[in-house]
Amino acid sequence: MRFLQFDTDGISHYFHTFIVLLFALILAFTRSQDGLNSLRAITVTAASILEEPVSNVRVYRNALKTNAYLQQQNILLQDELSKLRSIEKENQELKSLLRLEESYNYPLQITRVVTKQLNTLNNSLSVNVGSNEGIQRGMPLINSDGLIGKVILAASNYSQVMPLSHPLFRVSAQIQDSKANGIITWDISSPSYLIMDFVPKTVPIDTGMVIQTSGLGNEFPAGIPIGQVVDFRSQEGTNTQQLKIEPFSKLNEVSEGFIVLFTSDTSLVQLNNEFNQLFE
Amino acid sequence: MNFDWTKYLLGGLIIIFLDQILLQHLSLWGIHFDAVLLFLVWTLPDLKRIEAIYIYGLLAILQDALYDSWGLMLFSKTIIVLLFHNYLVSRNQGKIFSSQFAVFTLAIAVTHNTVFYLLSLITGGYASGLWPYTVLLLGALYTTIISFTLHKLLRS
Repeated sequence: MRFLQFDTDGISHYFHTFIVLLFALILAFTRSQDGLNSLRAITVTAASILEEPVSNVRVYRNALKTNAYLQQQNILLQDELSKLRSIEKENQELKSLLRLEESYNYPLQITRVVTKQLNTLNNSLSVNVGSNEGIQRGMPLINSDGLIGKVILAASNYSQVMPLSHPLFRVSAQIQDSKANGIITWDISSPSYLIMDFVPKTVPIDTGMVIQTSGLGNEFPAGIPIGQVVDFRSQEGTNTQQLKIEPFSKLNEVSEGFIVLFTSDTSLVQLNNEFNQLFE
Repeated sequence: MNFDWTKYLLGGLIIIFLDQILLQHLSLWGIHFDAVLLFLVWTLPDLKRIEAIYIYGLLAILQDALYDSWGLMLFSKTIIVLLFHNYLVSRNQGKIFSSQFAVFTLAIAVTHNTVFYLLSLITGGYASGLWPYTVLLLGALYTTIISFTLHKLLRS
């Protein structure tokens, strides 16, 4: 009972100190031996149980940090994915342009669309090649889908193109199967479509028929795809019919193309002039 | 029967519990302060030496068990009680300034950590080299700063 009251003082405390120090040394020197291992395992378990609530907080904080990091990474990856998709699309376009260049009879000048104005009546495109590259007024702009428009102004390094969807655009066209001719214009009342006029009623028409440039008029080379027939109707009081054409090239998606270095045959122009003079 | 010592033992157990779940996470660059040593510096003058030897001995064994430093804490804290008990009791008679208290704490913490380090070298419990001892000395400084701050707050 005297021990519990701790009323022992004086010289005896050295004895108690010695006992405790001796015990401490025994513990310190035997800690690596097997005797303490089970006790160490128990205390590690106890420490883990005590630590667990705080470690949960730490895990939660780490989870928040990880979440913020992953969100940031997600945004970066989305951005990268978007760029890659854009590059993939551009790559496909360039590949198809490459195939077109290989198969075309006329020399082609590759070009990139630098400006677009497609939401007004006076629609236009600008491309990054001009007279320095041999571009002249009247040359057609095409891509792998088909005809896009024609050059109406050629500066030294840039050119302006009148697209299919312009009220003044005209091109002589023909039906690929029957070779029946007509004139293509833009359908202002239905801006996504073109109209082909002056096709004789005797020519059988069906939807899906391909329309291409005829080469007549000495303006565009023959055989450039323009679009396909989606509708047709007879014109009252005439012997022709009108076709509704869906163009192959999507002007809103055009980013690259070729300008066909096609110039009118001057001898043919001269021949036409001489013919006209005979009847004057 | 005098059981006043039990409140110190209970207080020490609470300190160890708090140290285990909370205070040990207040480390700065891997440097920890010894909460039990802090408790020892504050309460040592209030206990008789025999009481102090056994109470702090028990607390030190618990620390040893939790930190897997078997015997090192027990030895170091017992040495501290042996060396500093009489001195702290005599200094505690009058008013003590925070700066003085900080110096006592620093002396005790440095002694404690030095003994701890030397014994660990002998037993092979820790890797030798200067860096562990530097960490222990910085830990002593950290303990002193905490002690000084608490003394300023509680005695003002």
